[in-house]
Amino acid sequence: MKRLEVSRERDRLEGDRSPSGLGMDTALLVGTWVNFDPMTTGIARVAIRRRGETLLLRVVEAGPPAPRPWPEAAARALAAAVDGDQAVGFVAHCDPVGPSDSRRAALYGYVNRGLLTIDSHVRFPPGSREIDLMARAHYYRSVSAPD
Amino acid sequence: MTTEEASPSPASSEAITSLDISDLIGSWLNTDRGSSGGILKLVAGEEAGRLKVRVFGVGKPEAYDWGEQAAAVYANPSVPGKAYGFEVTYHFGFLTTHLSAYHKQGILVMTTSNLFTAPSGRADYWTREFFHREEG
Repeated sequence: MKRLEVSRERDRLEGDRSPSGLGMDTALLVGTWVNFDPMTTGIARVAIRRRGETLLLRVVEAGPPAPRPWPEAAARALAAAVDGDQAVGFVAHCDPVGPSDSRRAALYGYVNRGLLTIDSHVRFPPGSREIDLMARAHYYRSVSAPD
Repeated sequence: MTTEEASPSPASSEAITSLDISDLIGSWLNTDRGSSGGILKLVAGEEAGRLKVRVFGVGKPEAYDWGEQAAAVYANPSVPGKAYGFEVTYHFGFLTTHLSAYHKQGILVMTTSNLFTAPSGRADYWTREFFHREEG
């Protein structure tokens, strides 16, 4: 039996269990999510859709002065364990955020009991006087907005 | 501690930070004492104005030493002068682990996003773990 490479015990598959090979179920993530804080100056909403085995994110950053949509970015779906087949999280790197926005952003999201939490890390270009920022925000699933 | 199977690529060079990183410095132990099989311990220190972290994954009989890496440091928008969190990526060859952490009221909350680089039957996965400072 082939020995699996690991970085910690959690990387090991137990017994003969293994994912189905049909890809992860991403239903918990797909949809449009709205920030609980209407006064946020960070990510106001994010729409998540699936294309094949890839998740696609459309982020809208709040102003001021006006909402700023980011170009659609690819994300990787994440299960809760190596033998999981239900996606509960994602990771996306927007590097740069867009063709006219040289910031770099890393988004780490996860769903717990219907609540989406996103930890966002935004880095400014070298030489910028801005401080790199990490923000943590919570989102509810919109029942009215189109995906 | 062993590096037999977990041998990340050399550390990346992260920028010198102007933030106060004192809240992040120290030796942090997982509150689950390794029972989840995740990260056992993280040691964070300062070197020439950079935050350096060293991670140990749970292993049997010995922990996996991931080695030391420079971390990118971030402020919280509401507290701009102090470091709130950090981010570091380990490249193991078979696996890439993005580690994101923030400090809150004496607890270090850490998520990992784990992406396998080749088919192994394992799903990419996510974790959230909690750490407290090592006593003494």
